Amino acid sequence: MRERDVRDIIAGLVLITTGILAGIYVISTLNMGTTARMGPGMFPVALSIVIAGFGVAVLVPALFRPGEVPSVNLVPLVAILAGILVFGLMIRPFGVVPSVMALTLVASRADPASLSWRGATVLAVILAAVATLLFPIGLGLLIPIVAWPW
Amino acid sequence: MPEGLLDNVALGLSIAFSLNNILYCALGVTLGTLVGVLPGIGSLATISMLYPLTFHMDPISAVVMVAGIYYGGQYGGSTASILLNLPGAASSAVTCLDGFPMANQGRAGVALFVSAAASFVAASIGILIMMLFSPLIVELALEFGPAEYFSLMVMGMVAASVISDGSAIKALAMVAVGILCGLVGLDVYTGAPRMTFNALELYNGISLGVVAMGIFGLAEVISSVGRVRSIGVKQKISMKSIAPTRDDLRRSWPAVLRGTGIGAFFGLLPGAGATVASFMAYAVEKRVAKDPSRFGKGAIEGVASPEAANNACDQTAFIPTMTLGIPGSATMALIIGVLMIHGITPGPTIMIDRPDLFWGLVMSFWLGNILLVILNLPMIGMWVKVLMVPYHVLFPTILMFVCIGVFSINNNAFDIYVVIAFGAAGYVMRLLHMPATPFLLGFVLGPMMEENFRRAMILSHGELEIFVVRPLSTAFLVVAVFLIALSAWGTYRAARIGPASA
Repeated sequence: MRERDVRDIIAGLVLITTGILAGIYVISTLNMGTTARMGPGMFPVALSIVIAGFGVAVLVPALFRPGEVPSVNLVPLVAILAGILVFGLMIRPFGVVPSVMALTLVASRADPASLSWRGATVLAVILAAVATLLFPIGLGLLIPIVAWPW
Repeated sequence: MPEGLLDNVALGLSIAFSLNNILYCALGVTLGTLVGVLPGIGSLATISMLYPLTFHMDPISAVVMVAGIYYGGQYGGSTASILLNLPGAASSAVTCLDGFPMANQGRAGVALFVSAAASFVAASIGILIMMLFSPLIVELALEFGPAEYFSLMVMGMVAASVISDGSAIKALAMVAVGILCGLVGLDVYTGAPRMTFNALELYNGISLGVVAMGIFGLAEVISSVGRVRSIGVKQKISMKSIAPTRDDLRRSWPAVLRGTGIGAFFGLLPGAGATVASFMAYAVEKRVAKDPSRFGKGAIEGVASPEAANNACDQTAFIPTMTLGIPGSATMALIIGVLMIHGITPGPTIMIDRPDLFWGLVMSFWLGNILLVILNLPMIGMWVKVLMVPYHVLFPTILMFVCIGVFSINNNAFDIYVVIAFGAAGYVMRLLHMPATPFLLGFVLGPMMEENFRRAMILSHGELEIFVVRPLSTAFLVVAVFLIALSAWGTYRAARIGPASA
């Protein structure tokens, strides 16, 4: 198999897909109008076409040249996004302290080599304290410190 | 005009030197230096994180603080470059080339001094340019109609895409994707919800703070975790070791002036930015030097000129932002966002309607830059210690600020899910080398662009001619086309020479 510029092939495909999906969605939901009286859909549809066009311009040359494959930082990606998700799910029902601790513990798995469970727990307690002192107390944001939904 | 200028300066001073604003300015520049010094978090990510907090502040204080973070980051960025060969900010990357060799020769103190002094001189000249030129640009801009605004924004975005490193096609594509995301929400003209997927939370559009935090803050953290390690600094920096020799000074000052000129020019261009300016300044310095072989081995001009350029650029970048409402960089886009939250739209009318804000901000730059020199020279030891904070402590702290910051925008968990989506998207963009700055520019300017386009179309009864009949609008579009042609030619030439150019 010949070497190809995988990075730009993916980039081109992502752009083409984005353009096509956005275009279809806009056309099916919004009114185009006329050029003298443009509807809400005209500008977005024009953009979708432009995006898909750029996608082709990125994709085609990449098919004929060698390139490198990007390396994904997978563990940090999953751990960090999962940590934030947990925070988002917990903040309303439980308040700042439990959510920040959960966030820190989950996200710390992004770098397990430097953060043991013990280290992460200590950090979680410190960060929960800092967050509480800074946001609900210091800045007066209306977030419960600790809550219990049931 | 000169008498008017003095009045304005007096007004600005009275506002910048109110106790509140002095405090916010000091807070901003200190934070800016801090995050500038720390690799793996930049001023852009910091401003995104603090963005929600600015809702609760007085608009002048908010802008003074945010601006302080911005130019403070520039001072701090050079510290990490010189001491660790690790740029704290992209615009300081080129400072590594000669700054780190100087540190290895035991001249770190001199490099830090020259860098701070060059930054201060350049920033001062940049501020003067801003004070003198802004009123002129405003007069011109008051003549602009919707067609001119649209064409100017097209030019700015094309310039940003073409000048940035990497593929211009990808950058332009990201501008378009950014505009598309910026249009999410209720349509101004018809009230129709656009691209909201029936989510009520999206009716007001996607919050700029959320987008910036995801694309810059989270993506930065994800790609830095496990890769950025703190390294100890061996050298002790004493006050005595920072004194430059007579030879250093003789070499530095022309370099500082050249760098300032280059930086000020790039700042005025919408879209170019401090990174391009600093690289350009370095290249020029190497070309004018009698002995170019000294560069890369600790030539003091190689520190002085780029540091002058990036600071001058940072100050003059405020000119298009404040007078035209057109941000030249992602950070400037956030500053516009901060103002818009408070119902102030930057543009030619800002100097007339809110002279207190404009001149207060400009005068706070003087204060901020003086504070920065104090922060960065006598207190350099403290920042060296900061460099030792390990990233595995730093990144959960950053995440905590991101999460609470995003949540507090609307007291709504929905925004947190949006930030996750943009964080993931931002990381994928990084992997695919799709630049994030053009995306953010498109996101901020998109709605303005569409509005002006539609207004122009109504005025012209649907004829596209309006954009080429009006001379200024034509000029902007011609420049845009010229820039695209220039970049296409460069790509073509590079392809002919061979794919070896990595």
